[in-house]
Amino acid sequence: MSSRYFGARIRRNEDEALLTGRATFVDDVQLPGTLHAAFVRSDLAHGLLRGVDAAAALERPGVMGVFTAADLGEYWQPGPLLVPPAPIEGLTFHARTQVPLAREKVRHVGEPIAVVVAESRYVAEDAVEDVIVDLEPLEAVADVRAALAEGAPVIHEDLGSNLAAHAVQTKGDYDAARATADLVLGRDFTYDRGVSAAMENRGVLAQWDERSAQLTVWDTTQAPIPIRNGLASMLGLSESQVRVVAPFIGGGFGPKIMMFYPDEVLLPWISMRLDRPVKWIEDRFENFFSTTQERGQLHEAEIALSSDGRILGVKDVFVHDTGAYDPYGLTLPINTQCTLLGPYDVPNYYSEFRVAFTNRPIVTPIRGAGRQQGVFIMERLLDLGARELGLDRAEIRRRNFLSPDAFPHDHEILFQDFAPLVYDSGDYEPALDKAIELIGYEPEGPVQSEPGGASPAEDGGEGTDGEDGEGSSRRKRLRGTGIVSYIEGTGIGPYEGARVRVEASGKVCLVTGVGTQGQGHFTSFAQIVADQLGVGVTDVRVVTGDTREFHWGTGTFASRGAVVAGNACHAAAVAVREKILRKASEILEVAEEDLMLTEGVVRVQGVPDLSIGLGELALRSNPLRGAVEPGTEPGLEATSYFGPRRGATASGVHAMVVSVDPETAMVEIERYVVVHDCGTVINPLIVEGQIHGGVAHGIGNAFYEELDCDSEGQLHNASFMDYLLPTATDVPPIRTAHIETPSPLNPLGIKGVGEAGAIPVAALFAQAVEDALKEWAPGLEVRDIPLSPNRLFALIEEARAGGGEEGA
Amino acid sequence: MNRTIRLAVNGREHSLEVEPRLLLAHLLRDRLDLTGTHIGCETSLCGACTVLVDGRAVKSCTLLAVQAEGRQVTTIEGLAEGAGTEQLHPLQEAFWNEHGLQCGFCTPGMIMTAHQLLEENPEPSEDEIRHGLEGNLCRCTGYQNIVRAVQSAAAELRGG
Amino acid sequence: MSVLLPASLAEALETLAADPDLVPMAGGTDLLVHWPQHTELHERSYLDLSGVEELRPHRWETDELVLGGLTTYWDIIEDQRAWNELPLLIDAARQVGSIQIQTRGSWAGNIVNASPAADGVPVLMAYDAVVVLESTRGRSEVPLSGFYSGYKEMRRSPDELVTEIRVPRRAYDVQIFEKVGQRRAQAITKVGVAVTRSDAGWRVVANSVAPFVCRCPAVERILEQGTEVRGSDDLLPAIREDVTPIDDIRSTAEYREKVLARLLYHDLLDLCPSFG
Repeated sequence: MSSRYFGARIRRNEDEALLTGRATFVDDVQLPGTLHAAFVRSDLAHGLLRGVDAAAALERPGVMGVFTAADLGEYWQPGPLLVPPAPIEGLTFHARTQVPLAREKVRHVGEPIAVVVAESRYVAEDAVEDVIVDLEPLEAVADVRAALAEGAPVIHEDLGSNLAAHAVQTKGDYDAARATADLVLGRDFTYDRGVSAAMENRGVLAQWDERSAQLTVWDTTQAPIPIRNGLASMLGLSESQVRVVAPFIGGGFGPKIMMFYPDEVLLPWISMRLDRPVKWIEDRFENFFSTTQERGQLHEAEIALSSDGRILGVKDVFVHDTGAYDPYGLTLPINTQCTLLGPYDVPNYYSEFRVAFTNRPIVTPIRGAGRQQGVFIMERLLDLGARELGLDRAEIRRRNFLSPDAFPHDHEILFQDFAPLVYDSGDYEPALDKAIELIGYEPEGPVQSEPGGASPAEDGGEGTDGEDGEGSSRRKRLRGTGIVSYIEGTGIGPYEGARVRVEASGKVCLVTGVGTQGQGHFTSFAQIVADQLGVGVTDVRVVTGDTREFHWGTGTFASRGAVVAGNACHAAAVAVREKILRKASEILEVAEEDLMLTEGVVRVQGVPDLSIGLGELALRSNPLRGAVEPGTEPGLEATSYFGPRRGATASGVHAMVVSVDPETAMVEIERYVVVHDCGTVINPLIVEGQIHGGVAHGIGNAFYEELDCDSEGQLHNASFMDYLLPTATDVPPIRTAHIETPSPLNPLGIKGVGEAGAIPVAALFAQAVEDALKEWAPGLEVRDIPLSPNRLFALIEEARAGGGEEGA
Repeated sequence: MNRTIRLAVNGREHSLEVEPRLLLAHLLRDRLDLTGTHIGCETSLCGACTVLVDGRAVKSCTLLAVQAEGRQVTTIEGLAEGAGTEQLHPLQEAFWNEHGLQCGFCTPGMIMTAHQLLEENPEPSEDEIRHGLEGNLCRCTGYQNIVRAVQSAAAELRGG
Repeated sequence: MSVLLPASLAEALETLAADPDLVPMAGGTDLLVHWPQHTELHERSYLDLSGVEELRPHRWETDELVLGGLTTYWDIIEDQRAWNELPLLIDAARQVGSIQIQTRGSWAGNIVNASPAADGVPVLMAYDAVVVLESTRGRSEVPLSGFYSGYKEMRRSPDELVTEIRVPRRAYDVQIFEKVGQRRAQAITKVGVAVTRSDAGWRVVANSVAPFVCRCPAVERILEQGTEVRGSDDLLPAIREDVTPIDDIRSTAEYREKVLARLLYHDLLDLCPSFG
């Protein structure tokens, strides 16, 4: 088999449509007669719903209907529990999932109370203002610690408290290890929430066609098949009557998973009621309330070390904020729990978490999905350990890496996919060495210059720098370096499928059930198939995200698309290749071993004249007369499925150089290096793009993106004016290097990469900033993320007030 | 009180009756079916809705359609025009080659802003490109390949 | 809602005189933010000035630069003379939003929007700009440094339009503009400062530290009198006399006060012998 495309850096098949404005996103689908929906949302975080008066709204010209929970009748049901809890011994778990419209009470700001449908969105928005909602305020609890305190207002009364879950996972005996340790260090850490901020907000367009009794739903979802299955069941339709289309999606990052958001559930129902297409497109303000969020956790963590810096054990007790409901089960805290262990040999581990309901929007995975928090805790503990022991930061990591012969490595706890946490493969030290080389890290010293002397050295440490690009200031710029490691469990099951078909044109159609939101599946899947079938990569037309085209599947999440669907594509292509060779062998009367497949033609080795094109072969495999042999199938087509036994473990080392203006607490990231291992690489261009984007997302989470929510659950910065996404001037150039340890768990050796870039950034940022400020603000420790310029300013002032006489 | 406005979009003259509160972005998308102009924030911060009005990049979510009376509007669909049929504008080509897009939602606005940037400064430094694009948010790419694409398009435009 | 589109200044002033409740609109970059959601704003009536071509151009006179009521940031960015002679206008223009806002947003709009965090106003004030107001009743001129009287309060009657901004042409030996936001670009100012020195003396203007952009007379006195300043903390008493920063979601009063002092101290260290 030739390998022309797999592994090649080629530009993407899907881009032409996107570059010319022809690509269809959900909001671009325009159907005649479409009605537009707008939601009446709660402006309180916690309250009793006494009544909704829609009379005035209904009188407004152009309003076609106003629906409340009472109008839904039997259709009103809490959403499904998307992920049941893992079978952890002694687990407590209470499922309370979101409702389509609030009925007796509201549990977070922005929870939908009624939906207005009108001839235009403007009219619908006007009519929302006409609806009178009678809400009786209840005391709200927005803080996760307060939520679990004695006497806290209870969000789901029947539970008697806000405890949603409690679990303990252990390995070895932490207490015993602690007793023998030379050094035990404990700290409290906070990791706060952010939003996913896909540039495309969510949206749904539902069209019920009375005559054909067909429902079509265009949905900004990462998982159209589960949505189709769920809607069919809720609406009492056959799955064959419901088609869910996820066309081009403007970024997913987690919250566009099969959530069964109120809008996703309501619009199809309304379309059936009114027999008109109904569209709802979320606006950015709404997105801050109506789309799920992530990352709020409080940790009390402790590390036990030997005097030479070896990890004897780690203890971590944390609280996870799930918001008003917990439809995603325990995926997030389990990811935190598992990812904390990182690439290290941790012989003893005690990890205990509580999940709390709060009066805030719902929490489900966002790019990284609980892993950031785990990495932050472990890396911070190692940094503290290195400081206390006088060890170099890279060295303490090196000493604790699992060795290359330690795989498969069993951590003796359960992962989010319910399988034991077993690392499949890895080799961590070369990545560390490479990152040290690329960033120019010198043990326990600031970076002096670009490696290789590419640019003149500036004053390290405490130099002044007149060229910060923002004025003529002679203010200080303090430089610091960070270097951290992490692993990521990727590519979990259960399965995905793909169907490959050679058409009479000789071109190939590849269909899979996953949705795609910019990951380049139209290209990477085509690369896999093109190599097997000996066709050009642009001759493989990839269809994703349309349930009419493929019935089975789960969705794109957990860095699994390329791993699971990619291997399904591979399996289907291998099966079609076999069919091609068998059929060609019959027709050409040549042994299969003597055939080769190149440029869309089956050729006979050594006999240049004897060949048959794939199109011709496809035609002859689908005869109009005669019989297809018993036991065979028509066409050059195959459908295959792939389900890995468990997830593949990707890993990496990130390093950065920051410069900090200690007087304004403004931080600039000067350089960034990523050395990572995602197994075999299908397309380096796409992989690097995924990493760049992840790092940018991570930089936002680490420093700029902060939800300013008060104790009443009111958000004060629900716009991009004050919720700051990194811009082109905030994200540095990123150098990447690849290490390849193929996964033994799938034939292609792939590990996922979608989330990797985002995972270690906060840990790295914290370390680099501390390094920069170690003399200016002695003793400064970063324990809270997002750090934010204001928080950093306060930390600096505090450290200088309490500490040394350094400076000026 | 509706009013009739005249404007040219991608070289075509239109005369349309509009509500005064209608934004240009909605006029382009809903009335003229030019859905390549995307709306990401309604607050003029994300830049996805950027189009050219009389050759200058503006955010069409903070411009009333009536304010475009008598103006020439260019959207992503019209950018390649003049480059000949079936051809992409060098910026579009460069974004493709350099992997300057992932989900592609911010891309039309990004390209329209880059267009103005290069009109003004045909040989921008990396820093000037980054500053020039600061009004366009992208969540997918980390901007690196976007910057490369603009550099590459600039070189192409200077050469050709 | 209605939008009136006058074709000339005379028509605009007459229309406004007849209905002073009209909201004058230039680029619309402040008024139309979050427009689809702010349906209450749809009830108002607007006087869109974009057709009043005579307000658009700026011109260089012998002793002043005159900005038109519709002159945009981009118009000035494109003017090489401004780069040479009044470079703070360029620095400020490039801090406003982004290219797409700079092409629409006007200097006059920045003045009458009256945000305490305005980027254009501090440099105009540090250059002693004068606001020219016109109505059917006549024409008046107000120094920008005396234009504001409180948060979003200013010396403009509802029937008046800002038709010109007059910026004196002077020889400056100090011209500084600094802005600190939450991130490098497209961020609302947490604290900013513009400083100039000419024959007319020192001008120090701060933004985001008071209900409106304002001069800092106590700091200016320190500079004029050559009072000794040994560190940024020495500037704090004067700053506290001049401005009244607050805590909000973007920053804290402490940050604003201290960082303003530090910006000034470091910027002036080499320029003022009394700073050491």
